[in-house]
Amino acid sequence: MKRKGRENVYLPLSADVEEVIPLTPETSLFRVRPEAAIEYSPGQFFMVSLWGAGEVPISVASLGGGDGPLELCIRRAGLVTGALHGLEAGDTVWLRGPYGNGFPLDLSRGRDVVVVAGGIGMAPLRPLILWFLENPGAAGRVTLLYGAKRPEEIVFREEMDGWRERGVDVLLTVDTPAKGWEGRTGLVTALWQDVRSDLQKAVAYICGPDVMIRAAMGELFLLGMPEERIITTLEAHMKCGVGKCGHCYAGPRYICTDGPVFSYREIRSHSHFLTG
Amino acid sequence: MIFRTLTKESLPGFLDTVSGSYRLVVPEQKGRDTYAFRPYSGFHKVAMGFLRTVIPPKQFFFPPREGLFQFTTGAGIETATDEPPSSIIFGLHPCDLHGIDILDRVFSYGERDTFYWRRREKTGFIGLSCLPDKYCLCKSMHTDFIVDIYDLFLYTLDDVYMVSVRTALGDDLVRLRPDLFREPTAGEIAEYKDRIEEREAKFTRIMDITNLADLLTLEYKSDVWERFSQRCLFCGSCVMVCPTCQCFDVFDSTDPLTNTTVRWRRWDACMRKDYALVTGGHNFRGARPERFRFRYLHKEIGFAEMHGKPTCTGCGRCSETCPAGIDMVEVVRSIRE
Repeated sequence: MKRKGRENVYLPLSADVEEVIPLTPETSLFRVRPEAAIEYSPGQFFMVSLWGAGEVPISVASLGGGDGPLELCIRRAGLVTGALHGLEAGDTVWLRGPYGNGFPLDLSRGRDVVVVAGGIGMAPLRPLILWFLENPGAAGRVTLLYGAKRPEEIVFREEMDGWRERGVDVLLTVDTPAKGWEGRTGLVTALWQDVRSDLQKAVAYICGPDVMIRAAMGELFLLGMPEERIITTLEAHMKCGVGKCGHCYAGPRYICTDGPVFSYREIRSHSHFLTG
Repeated sequence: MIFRTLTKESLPGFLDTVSGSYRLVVPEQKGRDTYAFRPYSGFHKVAMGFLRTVIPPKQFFFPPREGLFQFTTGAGIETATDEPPSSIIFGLHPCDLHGIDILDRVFSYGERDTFYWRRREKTGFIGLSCLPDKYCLCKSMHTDFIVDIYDLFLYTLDDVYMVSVRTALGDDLVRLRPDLFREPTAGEIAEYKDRIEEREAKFTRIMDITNLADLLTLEYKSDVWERFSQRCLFCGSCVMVCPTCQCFDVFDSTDPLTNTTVRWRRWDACMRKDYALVTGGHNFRGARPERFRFRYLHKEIGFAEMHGKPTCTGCGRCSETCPAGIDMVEVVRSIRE
């Protein structure tokens, strides 16, 4: 995780864009190759920038560790992400990081895992699933509960078929079904009874919209999952990524350096953790 | 730490000498009741009786707006590599020295902030004692006295300054003019003690912060926040003048003629509506009372939990500056009632 020879914490590295793969009408996977190899782990994020547009925090969507490119799953939603969506293979993007603590990977050893994702919240959880697939023994049964607004907004849909073949229980649900949709309809938190694991003994990793995270954490706790095994990753307005700019202050913590991954135990006592 | 005395007539000569070896910054009077830290241009300009500058000393390590990097296609990234001058800031009162202590903690939390420390490391401080006015809350915040951060500290007595020499840099400064400093006499020590009591008696306004963190939590849903947020203009003035507010925004601007982009950072304020807004439209603190409340919660609870002490230094700038006349003492009193 050490960035050698980088005295200036705000200085970005350049990365070549190798490929841009559209995943949904608004979301693409950017495969980039940084000028120097960077080590990172699931749940960490990078400050990604284009000169002239600005910098934004983006969680890493690839597992890393090998020779493969670094992957960033980005939804076109604002000024910087809009500019990023103008990139093509051969262009240059800038990044600094990785930042944040990442997911506690040891927690799932010998336990079943429930990954709960909503919308673009799948992005930071994808490397976690890849970790479980590539490290047999890292977890017991893995179940993915994924909810999107509409079927066409499901990210990594084809890849999920591969996960299914490799043993992951993939359960998809949408708010608004379209013609030909054969999956479920409704909230992702309505799928607990379809999980073929004992929730009280499992570990949950959750990411999605704020309301979904709150609902999922609270419900899993009521269903008997210990609070230190209910794990989420939070988003916040961030300008630095290194615990300085103040934007992500949440109670006594910075989401960028103390998180973005927290257990329900860590944030439960702060009733207004997210609102300060 | 050792003590020396410096006669009042000797101070101009001492500062002249210091300004020959360092970039010396001193308080100067600007408007009728306003002061600013400025480069030394002779002792006659030094406002020895000043109480607080409008902008706190944070501006010297963390400028209101600063270009971090410059990027031009082809030339790549450029950043300032010049060595900042060795500087001495003269005239810092205990509250402002406490403020620098808070900023030091923030900008060294985890990874050190390159841009802050490149200037901060080259800066020494000469503290100066003061007598409170109606806005001063340092007594209430326990920041009326300081034992660290400064290099020299001058306590004003009748004819001399009792000088605390705390660091090697402070000793370097004394050694620039060893002829001006001598051992304090027993009479001067007695006078120093008397001055402590005289100063204590001058604190007329007290902000009761007993159990304040708990009270703010208990009154989280109080209508006090709603009431004050009706008056607050959310202009961010309190944040700009605060010696410990350190939030910043980072943004790029591109010169269309040269195609050069500068990545800036500038002071930001948690009062602003889009401060906690994230892409996609969710705002963690969109409502006015939430934004007003956050500043108090962060200063008195959040930061204190992280770094061991609350961030308010009681300097009085926010109360003096607020265009809506919102006074921290009044807010805290409302919470206590």
